[in-house]
Amino acid sequence: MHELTVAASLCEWALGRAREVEPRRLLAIELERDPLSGLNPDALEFGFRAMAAETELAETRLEWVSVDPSYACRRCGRSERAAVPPRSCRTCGEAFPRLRRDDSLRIRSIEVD
Amino acid sequence: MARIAYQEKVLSKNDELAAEVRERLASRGVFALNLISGPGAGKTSLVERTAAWASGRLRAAALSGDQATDNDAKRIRSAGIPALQITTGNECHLNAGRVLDLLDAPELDDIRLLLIENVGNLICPAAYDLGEAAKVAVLSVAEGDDKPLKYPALFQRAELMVINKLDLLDRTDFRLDRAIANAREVAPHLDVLSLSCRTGEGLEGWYRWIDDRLGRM
Repeated sequence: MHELTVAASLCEWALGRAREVEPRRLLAIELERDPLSGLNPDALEFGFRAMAAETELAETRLEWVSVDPSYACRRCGRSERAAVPPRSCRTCGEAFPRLRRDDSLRIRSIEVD
Repeated sequence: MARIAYQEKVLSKNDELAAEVRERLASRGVFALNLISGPGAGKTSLVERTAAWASGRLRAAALSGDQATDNDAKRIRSAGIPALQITTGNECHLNAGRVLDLLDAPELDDIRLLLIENVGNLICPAAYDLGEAAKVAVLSVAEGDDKPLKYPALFQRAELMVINKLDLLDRTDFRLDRAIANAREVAPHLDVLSLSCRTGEGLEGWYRWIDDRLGRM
């Protein structure tokens, strides 16, 4: 349901990058999404397409990569990706590493021509 | 063609604003809770009860998010603390910018406790950091006890799960032990409190939890 606001953030970021790489074109944005993002890629793509129309991003593709959620130890800071919440930190043994705050959707790379 | 690597959060702008909110609240000694639930679980009732408890004990205020109306803010003000309504229009969640915009409101002067009642929704509000000290997931026994399994993102991000409407427990198929086990399956760290805003049962535990967290600041 919040895909449109996320699409707006992504579009704003991508317009900035597109202007940085001019005169090359931004062909694709590679996005990492974990299952806890609550995001529907189709809905986000729909929003992105609507906002990108008639901008430098009109032809830019979104590429999706699925990853496990990321957890971070509150004592030592070690982070790891895991399909289920880890019971303890593998480095220091601290109980219950926590889901990293709002880390469910990341830009991994862009492709330019 | 060339690939340029990034590791950047799409919601990084919201996160920057949330960091500013967190820093400003911390500098003022304010403990902020972000209450999240589906519609009707009893967030406003919990804020009302907390407002009555806080009266004469500590200065508190509330921000209440809804897509329309200021009904909740009116209810909370009637319970004894200042409350500001945030109407989000078509948006299904609060974001850090909306909280930041209100930090200098006179209603928030000299407070120690800020209760942020998010828009009723179990999915989207979980994705947005508001700069709070902790997220609180509110569930009621009128819902399914498998909600934590269905909406794990919220429960994993919350510090505490409050199960409300205990007074209705014997009229539903909701099982407390199953709800707690389901929550701990997706979020083993989670604190759990069961209470009834209607009868007052269990509310002492909620107040103690707030007191304890205030004491740690």
